[in-house]
Amino acid sequence: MADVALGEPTHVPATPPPVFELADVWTTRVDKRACSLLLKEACAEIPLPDALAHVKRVRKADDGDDRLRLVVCIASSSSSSSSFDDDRDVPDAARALVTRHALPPLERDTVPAHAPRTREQWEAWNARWPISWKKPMSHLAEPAESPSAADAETMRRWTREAIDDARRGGGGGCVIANAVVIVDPASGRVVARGRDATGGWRIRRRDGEDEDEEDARRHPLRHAVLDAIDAAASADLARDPPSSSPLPPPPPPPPGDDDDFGGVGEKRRRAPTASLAEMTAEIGRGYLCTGYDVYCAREPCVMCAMALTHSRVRRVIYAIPSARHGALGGGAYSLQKERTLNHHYDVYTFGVDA
Amino acid sequence: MAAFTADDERHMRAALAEATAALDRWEVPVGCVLVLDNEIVARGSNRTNERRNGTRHAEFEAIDALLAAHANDANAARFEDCVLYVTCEPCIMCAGALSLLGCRAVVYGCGNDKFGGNGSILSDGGDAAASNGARGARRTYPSVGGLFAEDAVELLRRFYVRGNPKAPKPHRTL
Ligand SMILES: [Zn+2]
Ligand SMILES: [Zn+2]
Repeated sequence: MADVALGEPTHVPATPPPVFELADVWTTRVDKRACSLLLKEACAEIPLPDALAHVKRVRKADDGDDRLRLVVCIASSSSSSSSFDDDRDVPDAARALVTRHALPPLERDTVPAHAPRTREQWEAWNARWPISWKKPMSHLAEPAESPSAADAETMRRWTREAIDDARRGGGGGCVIANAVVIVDPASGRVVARGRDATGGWRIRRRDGEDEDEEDARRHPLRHAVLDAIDAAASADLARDPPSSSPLPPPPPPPPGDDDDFGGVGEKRRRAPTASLAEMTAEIGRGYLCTGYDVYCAREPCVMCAMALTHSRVRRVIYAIPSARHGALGGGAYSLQKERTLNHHYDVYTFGVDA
Repeated sequence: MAAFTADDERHMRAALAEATAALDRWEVPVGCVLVLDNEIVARGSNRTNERRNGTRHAEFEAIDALLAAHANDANAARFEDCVLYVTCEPCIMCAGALSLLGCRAVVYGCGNDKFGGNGSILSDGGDAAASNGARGARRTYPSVGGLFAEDAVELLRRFYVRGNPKAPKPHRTL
């Protein structure tokens, strides 16, 4: 790893912001007094696809016409369907509506194809055709601004340490690919450090004085992130050993098999309704690193990125993106976009090329 | 539904026994076995509470057991010839680990609707490389689910209704 200069950290969004694209629709003109009834029928009988849920179905005409313009249905994007009658994508319910109300000839138009992510996008796209804008859910929200100067300085400091650790690990002939520092942002204290110890797994060559120690740590899955999470857990166990109190008896069998189950029912309530998703959410419990910041010399792989999700960390900051193995937006894949996960951390990169 | 052999059933029963043992220790009941040449060479069950480490899933426990039996020599452990039988579909983390090791195949019980790395949440249709959550990892592996899924779900349900009072918690205010 050559000497690296750290510039400004940039936030890595969960998904690239949507680009402005248009979707084809058929519209009609309708008298203001007749509009609310027609709108109600159109919404009930010809709902727009979910992808166009942001599109408002009615707007004022922009050509001086008194009447309102209403989106009847989606249109085929192929230009050969230049008339409503010929368009094979038009649903039957739309034709029925047109006939029933003797609507004037339908006009082709275009509407924004994607929901806007930001207020700026909403303003720009809304000018094409009125659309709504919903603020993203909080745990999916993108930080509006880049980190403050003080934040960025903290990030540089600890990322620098991770890089130095990675470089130092190079003694002993071991191939060190990454190093990680876990920091408690509340106290500024280092919680744990980790170094990649997969070196020598496939490449068998060892010399140097710490050979034995490195050999003992060597493990095909001991990436720096897992090494650091492990170190945090070991330190916690050493500080606060498990109590020797005996475990409570094992849980009873499920309802239905055994009449003793649950006694008077307060447990019964949740059991039959729990979905597999709710139950498998338990698999992702692991709160020990909750709220910590994780500084990495290199972008974590998918295994490590998910390990950090399980550990409930607050932020992950990496210096060097990895186009091939990275799982946090440095390459093709980005774990942040898996929205069903029940924990999300913010990701920053220094975008160092190394 | 895939056709499972008597050997498949034998191995999954062993994985379910591991999961039951985890439940008795107040751990999330997921268990697995690694099978080489049709014989079980390692067993594992979830120990996230005991080790206060959210990454100590059954798969990692079994992988470490096999490595330990070979003095940490991954080549001697022959992961690329091992088939994993696990009661619940491996999560994205474990799928990544199995892919890094070049595991030969995975047979699982119930799906993992929250974190599944074999297709439950990561599949995006047609992209074979994406099918086990290990994009960018060493390689992908075939996997098939549904073997004794009801038994695996029943164990999870027993854990779920009781709650997880032993879950590792940070000793600090957040
Ligand atoms: Zn990794
Ligand atoms: Zn897992």
